[in-house]
Amino acid sequence: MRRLIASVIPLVRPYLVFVVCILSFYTLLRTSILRTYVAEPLALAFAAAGGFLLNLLSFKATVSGTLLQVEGFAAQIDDVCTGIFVVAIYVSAVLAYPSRAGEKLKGLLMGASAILGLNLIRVVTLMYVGRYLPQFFETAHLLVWQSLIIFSALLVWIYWTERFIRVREH
Amino acid sequence: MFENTKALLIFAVRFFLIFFFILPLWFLITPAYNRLLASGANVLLAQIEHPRVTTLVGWERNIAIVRSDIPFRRGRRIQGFTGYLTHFNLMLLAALVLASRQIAWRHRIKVLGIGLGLLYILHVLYLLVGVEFFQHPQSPDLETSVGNIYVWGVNFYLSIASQLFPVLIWMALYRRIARTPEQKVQSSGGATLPEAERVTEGAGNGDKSAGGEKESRSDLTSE
Repeated sequence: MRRLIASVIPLVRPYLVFVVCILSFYTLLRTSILRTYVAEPLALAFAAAGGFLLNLLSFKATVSGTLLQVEGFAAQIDDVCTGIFVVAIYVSAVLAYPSRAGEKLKGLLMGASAILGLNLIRVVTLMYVGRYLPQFFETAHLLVWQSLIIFSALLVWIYWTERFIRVREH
Repeated sequence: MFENTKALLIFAVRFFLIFFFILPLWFLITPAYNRLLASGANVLLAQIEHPRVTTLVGWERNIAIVRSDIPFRRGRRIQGFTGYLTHFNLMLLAALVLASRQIAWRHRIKVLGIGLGLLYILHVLYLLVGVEFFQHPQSPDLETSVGNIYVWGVNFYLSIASQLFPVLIWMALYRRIARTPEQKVQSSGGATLPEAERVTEGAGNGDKSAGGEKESRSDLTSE
């Protein structure tokens, strides 16, 4: 029985770590402290960066807190729109995957920056959709981009597991 | 999973093409899928609700909650679920399965059938749980600890789990079903010596693309 348990634990541990991490991150991100010190500053940063990029693209945008406005369209960026929950999923997957600390660190930096970078593109494109194709805004916002962001997290994670993780020598 | 970065990129491109190809189909099949979900949920509601007062009705893109104990009045707000939003993860799973390369079609259909079946069960459960609480947003039940867990669960499902489940189902089924018999032998410790050596060489270079495991899969499977 002990041998059976000893052989099963290494197989089950990554899945358990993943589930525990994801539940913990989600619960933590919902607390008022992390909302105040992480989610809200991130939303402010996305609004500011989004406004900056839109202005670079000759799209006159104004930013007021987390409210991003262009001519004829405005959007409030809340914590869900920052991609922080997808980053939490990605971080949980990296932490759960058997690898060395250095490899995990590389994976976390690479993945988090990729997901947040793509999310910035999402914010900018959604402003264009909202301005010029408002009838497709809900589809683009809630269906297309949500799926693409989670898919991007999956891609980065697979890339990390296949390129950055070396097999342990026994 | 993928023999090199190029294979991963091809997978990504295939995913994008398939995703945007099947996206319009979602709006076509949503009414039928909503009716299918509502009928599945109604069968279970008949078993768990005493007396039976609630019926779910697939109504275009949404699923409406109809209560027989509350008389219908003109102007009354009908409660329900935005089915075309909350159940969209079907399309994510379908795109992932169809975009996967080097899987025989019978395996692909098997993965799709099991995956969509699992998501259907999940969607029906979501409706059943939702019926209990969704239609009573001001209910004191929501302020109890069970109510708090429910609210937490619904938010968790909508924020994270609804998008995560298709990916997890795809990964689990891809590894379980889509692998070739040779890969299954390898994973159970039966790798042949030359293949094992090639895997070790690849690992030593910090590049797993040289691994024989992945090469053998591309040789053996058909699209």
